Amino acid sequence: MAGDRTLLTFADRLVLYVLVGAALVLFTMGGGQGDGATVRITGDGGFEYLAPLGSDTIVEVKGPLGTTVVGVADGEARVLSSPCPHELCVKTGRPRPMR
Amino acid sequence: MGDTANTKAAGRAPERGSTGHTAAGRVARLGMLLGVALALYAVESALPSPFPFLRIGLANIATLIALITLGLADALAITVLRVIVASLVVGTFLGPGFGLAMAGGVAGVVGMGLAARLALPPLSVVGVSVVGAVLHNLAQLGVLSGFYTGPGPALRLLPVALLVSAATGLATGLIALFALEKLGLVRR
Repeated sequence: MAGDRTLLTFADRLVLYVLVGAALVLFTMGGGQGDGATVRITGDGGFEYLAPLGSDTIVEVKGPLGTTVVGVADGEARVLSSPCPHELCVKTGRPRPMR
Repeated sequence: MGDTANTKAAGRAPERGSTGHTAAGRVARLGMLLGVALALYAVESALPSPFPFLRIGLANIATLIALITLGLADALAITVLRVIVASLVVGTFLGPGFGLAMAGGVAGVVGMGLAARLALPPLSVVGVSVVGAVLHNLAQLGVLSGFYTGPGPALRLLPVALLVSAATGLATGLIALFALEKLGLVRR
């Protein structure tokens, strides 16, 4: 059969080794690790608050309808209360990854 | 069909392009490979994936076969059409996912085209596939960084993307190589 044939050429292997080597170097330089994600909360009048997800906190954001309360806990941010009529943001609950 | 009829009527053999295919044969193969690419995309979409960005890229098998048998322009056409048709079917046309898929697909196929033109051999079809997978993921990270997240998250994903590229490029390249060998289109 094809016992003496190889699937990959020397150049193929070289490309793979370079890729794996580059990935390992980047890993050791600190890539691939989260540095503690943050959530960015914006509001009226240029209000902006960067909350680290690693620490629990409560942020009050003033808007056109009133004050919205955002809670950060267990590495997640969610709206705790809102002055909007249907409170869809509150009912959304825990954030889910975008698809 | 009309071209073939005209050339027969004129008593001439159908003209063949640089890849040795008649115009009708080329269009037929292009359509068939586009269908294969879409079918492979559908199969992959049905497979569970632990991470949204971790995709094998099965459709790349059809692109790679198109690149080797038809050329860069046709492989690029298959990629662009596949991304557009697939996004229309799943409802993501012109959305963020569409932009990422188009950027990755175009960068991947152009990279594979350059690698095939400049370095095949010493690279094999598998090496060309790995180069395409790397550029696919790098382009997607570039779009992610430039339009959505900024450089930080993209840089943190870079080593994972390189490892994923190596694995998926190897897998799809081997499958494409076996398919091309079975079709008698390449020999090792």
